[in-house]
Amino acid sequence: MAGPQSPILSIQDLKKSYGPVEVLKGISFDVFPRQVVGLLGRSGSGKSTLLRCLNFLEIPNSGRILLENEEVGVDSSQARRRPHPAGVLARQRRQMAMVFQNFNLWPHMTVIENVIEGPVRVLGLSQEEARAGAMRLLRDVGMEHKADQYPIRLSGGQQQRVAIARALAMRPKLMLFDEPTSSLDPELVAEVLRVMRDLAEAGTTMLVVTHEMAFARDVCDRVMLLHEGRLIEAGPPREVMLESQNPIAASFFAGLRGEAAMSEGS
Amino acid sequence: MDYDWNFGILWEYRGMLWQGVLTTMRIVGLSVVLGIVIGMLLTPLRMSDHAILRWPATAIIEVFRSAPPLVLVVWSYYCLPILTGLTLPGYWTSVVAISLYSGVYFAEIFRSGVQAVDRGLIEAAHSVGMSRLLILKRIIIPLAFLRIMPPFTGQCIMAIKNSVLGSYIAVGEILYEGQRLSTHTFRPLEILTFVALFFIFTIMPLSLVAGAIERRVYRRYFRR
Ligand SMILES: Nc1ncnc2c1ncn2[C@@H]1O[C@H](COP(=O)(O)OP(=O)(O)O)[C@@H](O)[C@H]1O
Ligand SMILES: [Mg+2]
Repeated sequence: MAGPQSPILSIQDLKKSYGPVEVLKGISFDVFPRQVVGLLGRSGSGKSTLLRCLNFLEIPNSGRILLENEEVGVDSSQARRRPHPAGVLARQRRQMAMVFQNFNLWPHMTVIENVIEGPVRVLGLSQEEARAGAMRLLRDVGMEHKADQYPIRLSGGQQQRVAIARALAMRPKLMLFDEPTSSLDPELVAEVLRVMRDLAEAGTTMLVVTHEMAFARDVCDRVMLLHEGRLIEAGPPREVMLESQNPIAASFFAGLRGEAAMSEGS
Repeated sequence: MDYDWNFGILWEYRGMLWQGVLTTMRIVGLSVVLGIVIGMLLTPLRMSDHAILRWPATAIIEVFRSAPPLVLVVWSYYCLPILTGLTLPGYWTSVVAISLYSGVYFAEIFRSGVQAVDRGLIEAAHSVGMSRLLILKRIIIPLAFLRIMPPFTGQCIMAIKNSVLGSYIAVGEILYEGQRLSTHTFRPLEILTFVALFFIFTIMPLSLVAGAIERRVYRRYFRR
């Protein structure tokens, strides 16, 4: 789906180094409203670093991140880059809620407490309001029956669904997913992907780092391939994943292309 | 052994013994509270990104950790007045020395607790837009506290044991009063046995209860 409007998120020439090692070497792309964008690439290619730079969990060295035309983290319109006040950065962060590979639910809070923490403490909702909203979200992810459990009692798939509800509770403009199914046992992957598919169908704007090729192919409107800190391919999933002549893309998607060829042959 | 036990002596001198028990409890209470305060002041300094803050805190911690607590008590009693011109009564000298000694240990315990909090949990808090203060209050401190319960209760128990050091500078806590009574009455067996049992019967239930709470906390929040 091409965005007729202006992008929700616009990344311009983003660079990030750790010491002498340049991990992101100038990344530019846009995410439009209701788009689901997949970010693919080998381990170590910089996918997590990119996602973490977007909400300033890591501070990029240069480049601009625009969230609905507002620069995230710093003001670089002047000659000197000036960091935003903490309150502005905090607001921008919650507008791009993040779902982590390791769930990161707070272990000393129950499921519902995890979900209402942000709405109550940050958005200033009343307990009742926040709880009602949280129960709706927990129902959407199929977790309302565990509302009063502590995270440690849940399976990985259940924890990740709660983490998604926690992120949604902040009513973000877009959702960032960093390999949300990579630390799950294989039999638990499907339940999390199911929830993400539902979100995509409901029109949630999402930027998803994943190794789930079928998900990228079927759900994403657009995929991007990151290689050694550069976006080397971007476009509709079919084109990038099945048809790109780029040798790196061809080798990265070789397995998928083999399967596609087999099913066409049969 | 042909000893004619006479525990009636304890009842006879109950007033003195009770005073000793009270003094011991006051020293323990004050030095634990002051020690926690000292620990809470030192922890952020010790963990600061600024060397100007971190160095003095580290120095204080290392110095007080390296001296035997009895030496701290005796040194403070005899040398501090000479150096500062300020004379504290023995009671307060022992409270201050034991507080400082416990305080630097509390500081290290608190630091280990804060460091044990998973970075990812803090990042999750940032990503829902929580402020640093809110993250400290709602995530870091509660989680750090749950993690340090065993060493924390251990250090509180050490403060109870260290309270007897005041006896060396004639502070009338239970050991000092006990010794005084035994020489006065020639009944050290009854009286000092009472002193020993007082500590054992205070500390043992405390550590049993603390252990049970720790296991409960662990099962509830941390164990799969
Ligand atoms: N905090 C860090 N300090 C130094 N190097 C890092 C740090 N974080 C990531 N890197 C390096 O950056 C590169 C990209 O890492 P990452 O973004 O995690 O990749 P991906 O998520 O694609 O697997 C890797 O080579 C990694 O070693
Ligand atoms: Mg990664």
